[in-house]
Amino acid sequence: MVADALADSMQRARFRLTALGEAIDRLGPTSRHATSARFLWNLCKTAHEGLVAQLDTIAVGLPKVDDVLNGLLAAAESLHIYLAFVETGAVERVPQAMIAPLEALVRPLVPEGSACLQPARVLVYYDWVPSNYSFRQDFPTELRALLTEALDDADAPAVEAVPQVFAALSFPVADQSNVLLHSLLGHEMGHALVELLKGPPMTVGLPQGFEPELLVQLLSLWKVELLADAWAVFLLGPAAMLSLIELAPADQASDDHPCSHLRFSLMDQCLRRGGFVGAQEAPLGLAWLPAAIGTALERSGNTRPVNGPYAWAHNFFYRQLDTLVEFVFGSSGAYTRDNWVSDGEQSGRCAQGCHSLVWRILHYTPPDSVDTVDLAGRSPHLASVLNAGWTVWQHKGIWQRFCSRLELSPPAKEYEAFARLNKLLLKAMEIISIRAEWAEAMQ
Amino acid sequence: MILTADDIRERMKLPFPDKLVITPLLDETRQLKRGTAAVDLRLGQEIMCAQPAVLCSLNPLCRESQDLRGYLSKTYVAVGGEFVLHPREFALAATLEYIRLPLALAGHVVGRSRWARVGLIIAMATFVHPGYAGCLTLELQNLGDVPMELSPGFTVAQLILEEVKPPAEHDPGQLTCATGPVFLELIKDNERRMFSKLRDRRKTLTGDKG
Repeated sequence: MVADALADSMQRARFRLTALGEAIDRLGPTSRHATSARFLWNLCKTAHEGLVAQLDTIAVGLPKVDDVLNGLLAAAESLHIYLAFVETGAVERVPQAMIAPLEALVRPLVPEGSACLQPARVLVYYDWVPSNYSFRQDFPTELRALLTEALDDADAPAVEAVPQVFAALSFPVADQSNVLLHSLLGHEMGHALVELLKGPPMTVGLPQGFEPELLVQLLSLWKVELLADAWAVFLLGPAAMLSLIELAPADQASDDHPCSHLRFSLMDQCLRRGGFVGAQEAPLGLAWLPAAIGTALERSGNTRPVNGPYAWAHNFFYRQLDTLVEFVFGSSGAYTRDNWVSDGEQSGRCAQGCHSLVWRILHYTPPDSVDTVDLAGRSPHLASVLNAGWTVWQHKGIWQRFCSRLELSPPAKEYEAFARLNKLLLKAMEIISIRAEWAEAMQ
Repeated sequence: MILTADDIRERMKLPFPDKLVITPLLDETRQLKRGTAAVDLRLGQEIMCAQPAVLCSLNPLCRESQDLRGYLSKTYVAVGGEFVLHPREFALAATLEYIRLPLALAGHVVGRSRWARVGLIIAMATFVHPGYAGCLTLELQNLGDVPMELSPGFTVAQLILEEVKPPAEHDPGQLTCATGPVFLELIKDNERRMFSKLRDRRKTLTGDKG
């Protein structure tokens, strides 16, 4: 029975491999997606061949030991999971327009670790967890395990070829066209940074009465999540927080994620550090931001349990927010209010006090479309483009103006307008990426 | 009046809504050459190639033919990559540049002569209406005898701009914000119904059971 299931699984894997190989070929040899998809595809093919060889050995008369068969079946299931990664990597190109500039933001922070963030090899998008955005740093370990299971010693080089640091970022397929929600990739990129730069040391005395293992787990996992949040604001400014507000679950802490209230509080502090929040400091066009943050903090409320390990961890980190912010913002290269203002104040031609990137979107133009004189030929910061998009989307007055010129009737109006906003943002990111590549090639 | 390169440059400096947007101009000096009356446009990254095998005929009246999208398969070519257009092959592409025309300007997109001389047709439907916002769709066909390797970023087309007097009225239909080649409905819904009825009547009259 197990052997039949295994044979069937291998057959399906063979069909999928063939179809995916053709799909990757169609992407063309130089497509970024093709490179990462082909890399994974080759690994899956090797694993498939190894599993088939073992299955053949069993078929020729070796004793059918259940444990061995079950082990192989589990490996075959893993293979199908990885094929799913290849599948989505091979068909969707949109996120790369965002990843290339994001990678450029991260690179100065970790020059020694930039290999792990190269879009061509390492960033894979998939819809494995349909409703989840996540960062998988254990990806190489699992792949190694799968290959070790499938191959014998002679094929050790194949296992060695799996990179040590393999960052896989995932997001739900349904959100692939929502560029604004891609700001959450800032958080996932933050995970890669935590992996490479670690975090500040924190000394803590564990209280009596709680299960110590749970507390240790909370301290380590929550710290990683909070640092990733701080890095997200470091990289993308308000966009990072606004995307989290949009998607944050009910204010419930879990073993691996702190409650939203704690996360928003930290990001609020980061935004203050970046100069985005503060009555006197909010620049034109972002004046609505403090109100949005206030509402989010209020919404997430202070609903944490008054006691218990989660409350203890919450209070512990609440007292440590400054340390976390200091650790992250101690690095140079943060996206700050100055970036936002300098990208927006182009030649002083902003009408009605509106940030000029926002103004461009209102005229159905990619926000990055700067004149050469405006920013001395450089592109605006990726985060400025995203924040301009968020401003249009969040600011009711601006959004209504954006929709009104399309003269569509509801409900198509909102949907169509949002689709067009996404197109403009995506085009802007594509232009940023192309400009950078072009400038590099011209040197 | 056709705008010169200098006029175009000036229009690009105006504030909205009179501003002309052409972005990105990766090499402004070459794309907007002094003394010319056009702006050079580059080939974009999305290409839609015809797959004749998936369609027995193209019937614009058939609702199912909306799945003409299957007839044109989309390929994404990265900067630095290439795409081969075989002899007689047809493909849709778009300009790399995003265009936003003010209401006082209209344009014609035409192929560059150097490409025409090796048999590459760039654009067939060439008029761009005032107020248009989006990348321009190009219709490529290789009329030559050898396959042609094309890369995103090649300057294959040019946009000639003309003044519209008095300025046109705002048409929301022009705000497509297309960022790649766009395949449009061949016949609008109301006209489709009318043509279908005409065809049915004709069939009844001629006794064609179809």
